[in-house]
Amino acid sequence: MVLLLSGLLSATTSLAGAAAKPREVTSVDSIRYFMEKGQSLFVAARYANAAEVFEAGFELHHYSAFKFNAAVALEKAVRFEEAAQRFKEYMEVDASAPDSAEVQKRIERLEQLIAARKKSGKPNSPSAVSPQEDATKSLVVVETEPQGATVHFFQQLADDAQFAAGDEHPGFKLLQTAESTAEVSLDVGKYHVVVDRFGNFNPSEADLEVLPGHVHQLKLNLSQGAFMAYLRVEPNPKYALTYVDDPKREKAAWAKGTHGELIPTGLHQLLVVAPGFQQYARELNLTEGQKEDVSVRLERVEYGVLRFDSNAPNIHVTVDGRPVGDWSNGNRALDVEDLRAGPHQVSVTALGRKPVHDTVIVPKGQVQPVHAHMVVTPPRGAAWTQAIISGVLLGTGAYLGLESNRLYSELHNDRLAGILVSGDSRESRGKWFSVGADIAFLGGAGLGGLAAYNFVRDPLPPSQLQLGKLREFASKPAANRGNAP
Amino acid sequence: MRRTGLNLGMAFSIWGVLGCTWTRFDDVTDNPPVERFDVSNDVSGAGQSVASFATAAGSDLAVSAVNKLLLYELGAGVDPSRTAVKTQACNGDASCLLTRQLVGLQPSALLENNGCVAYGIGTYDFGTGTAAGSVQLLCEDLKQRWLPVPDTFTTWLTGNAISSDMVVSMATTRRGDVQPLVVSVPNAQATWFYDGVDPTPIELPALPDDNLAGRTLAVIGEGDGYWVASGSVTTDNSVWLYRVNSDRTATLAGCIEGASQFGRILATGNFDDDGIDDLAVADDQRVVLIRGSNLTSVAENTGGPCTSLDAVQVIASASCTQLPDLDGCAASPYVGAIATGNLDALDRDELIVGAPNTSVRGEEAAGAVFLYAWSNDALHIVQGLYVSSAASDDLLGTSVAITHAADIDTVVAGVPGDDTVMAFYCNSLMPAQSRSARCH
Repeated sequence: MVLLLSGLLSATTSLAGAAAKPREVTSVDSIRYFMEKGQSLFVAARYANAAEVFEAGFELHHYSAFKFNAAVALEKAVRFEEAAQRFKEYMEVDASAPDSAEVQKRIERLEQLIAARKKSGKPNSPSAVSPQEDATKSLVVVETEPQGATVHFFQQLADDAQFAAGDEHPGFKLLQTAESTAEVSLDVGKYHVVVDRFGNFNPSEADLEVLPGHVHQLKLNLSQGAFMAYLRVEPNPKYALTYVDDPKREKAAWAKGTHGELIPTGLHQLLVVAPGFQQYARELNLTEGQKEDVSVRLERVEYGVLRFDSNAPNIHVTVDGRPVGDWSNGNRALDVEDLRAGPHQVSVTALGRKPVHDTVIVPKGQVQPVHAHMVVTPPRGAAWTQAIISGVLLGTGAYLGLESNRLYSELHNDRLAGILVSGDSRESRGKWFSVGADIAFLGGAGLGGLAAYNFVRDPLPPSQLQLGKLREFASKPAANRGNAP
Repeated sequence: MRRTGLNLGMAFSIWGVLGCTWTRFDDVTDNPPVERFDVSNDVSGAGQSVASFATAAGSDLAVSAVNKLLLYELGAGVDPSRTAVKTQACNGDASCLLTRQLVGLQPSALLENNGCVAYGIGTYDFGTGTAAGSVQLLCEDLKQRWLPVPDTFTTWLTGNAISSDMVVSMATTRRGDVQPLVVSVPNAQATWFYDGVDPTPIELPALPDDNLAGRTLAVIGEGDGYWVASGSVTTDNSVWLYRVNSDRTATLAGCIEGASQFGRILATGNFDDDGIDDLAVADDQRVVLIRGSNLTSVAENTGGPCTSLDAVQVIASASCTQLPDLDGCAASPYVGAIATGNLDALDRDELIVGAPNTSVRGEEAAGAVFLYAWSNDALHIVQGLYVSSAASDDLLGTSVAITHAADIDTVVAGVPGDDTVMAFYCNSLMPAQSRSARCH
């Protein structure tokens, strides 16, 4: 669990209620100012300036972390003599520093570098230090109410270690013990802070992650034994948000992911939510000293989302025969929400592309990306040209045929009337019309067949719907989805 | 796909219905009812006059054109030679002037038993070594023959300028074992007659008061002699009659006066079935049939003015009647040519009127031939003959003639506007037994 100072301050305040004592804002803010100012200069590789700020902070607030950080900054600035001196001063300020052995070795290494430089007469060069040695220390201030309680700082050795109750704490190492108000300089890392029973006040504990160059202020109100319990919530999925006594989620979440801390006894409303999952809500009635571990496995909601895009510039999407929208290239993908989980008939059409109809399974509580790969409709220009020419030929054939028939009819009638003369020009015209009609019909039929073939012929593959990797809901889902189809 | 198939089916159905075999046109145009005769490209105005004469093989058809005479062999049936077997030049000068009416003459001893056509007069040398004028004949053996002309005409011929527009008229009888020939040249004031036996011409007397005649001629045999009718040139409404006797004497018999242009065309035929041919006389708008046996009454009136048409026995008259596709009444003159023939194989002849100014199916002056036949002793128009290829200004009917083919008279008409001649092998008067394959 990560406890940043501000969050922790807020949490402890809210949990302690009116019993909390107003903190000395001026002092802590001043410490924080120097620490964070020096850290920002350090990160910017302005090591000499950082060292000066850390020194100035020490002048005002005699915390060993300032000395240590000034020494690290001077070492980075290749000012080894001064760095060794600051490390020594750190040892003097905090004689019980848990890392005194490591610091002593560091001083010796610096002195060797100094001696070597004097012997060679060459200017200093940057020393080879480990990433851990590069880090500055942070100041952790643990205050209890009432003061005087014994505070233990356990360093978490493994990322997945859980602090166990009792005397054995696998995965943790007792680093330092102090009396509150405890002010310790800690390296960057995860810690677990335990406050022993103090008189008739209950013990207390909290997780803590120390960031580089920060001032962490931890206030623990020690309640009397009859009023406090410990609640730990482990949700699945791990990014689920936990709300305590906030059913409408009007405040910041109590925790994100797994989290545990002291909580007043009594009836509490627990709400765990995650996008794409049905919310989990229950009531907890915690008693004095009760340690409650709640493991929550959220169930996915019964609806999902289809997210459409395409290689075509514009597409029209229909789901289960209902138009659901259009998508154009350059716009965000078309999300079709509130779809009942399960198979749905999806149709996508695009101008000049082959339409595609397929069944897509909508996942529960997730987004199914659907890429409509729209294949262009084969060009029918040649077919249309052939069809038109065929039509023209058929029309011409029909005209010529009709004209031929008309001439034949005239000649026939004239013959019956006894006036048909040999060499009548209509005979040759009628013959040519007949020949022309036959040729036109043949040509028209041939071209018509060719046009039909070219209309049917399709050398390109069909359009298809390509399903992408399922994605989680990005936003907080609505609490109640009643209109999912 | 289904639609495409349907379209194809429709297309092939249409093809089945309309897709035409061109050979069907051969079925309908083979042996057509009307035969068109071919004329070579160097001939123009063919069909100005037509005549037929009997031959040993059946009959021949003579056709006049501009300065040319064409001869076709019609044969005995309905399959004529469409190409001229002989083209005879007649240059329209003193050597040869074409007659306005070709005259077909039956084979006779005078013609060495050849059927011939009398087509002109002139000084053409037939190999006799003489430049004397003659009546020129072309016969079935494709040889030219000649008949001598009166000396007075020869003298006139050699002393006057001859032009192609000079009128030369000829005529013969409708029937008879021996066919006479009458010839007239009004410019020369000469009309003479051949009796069909003796080649020596018989000169007809001059008309009184310097009247001229001979623009048209007709001959009717009666008893041992002949009546010769001659259209007046001096007046435009009278016909002079001559009598040629068996003793080779000729006298003026009188004249008949009618309406304007009376006598512009003459023909003869047996319209009253009395054994004597009758005279058909055309004016502008009608054809009047005068009883041949009544011409004697005209002859009795020689001392006074011409006998009025009202005073002679008119059998019937034929005028224009509108028929489907044909409109010939508005045009003038209505009559362009006259012929007589027995188209129905009954006793009386029918009147055939060529009307070249008739509009056919809207084609102006395409021309037609109208058939007039007897019904209940009255002459009625029964049919208008025209051709399917009628075109404006064809002038079909400018000339008409009768030829005898397949034992029935057949109408032949000249079409000078189209440079051809049409033979109508079918008509509504033709008996069923005479109808050939051309009529079905």
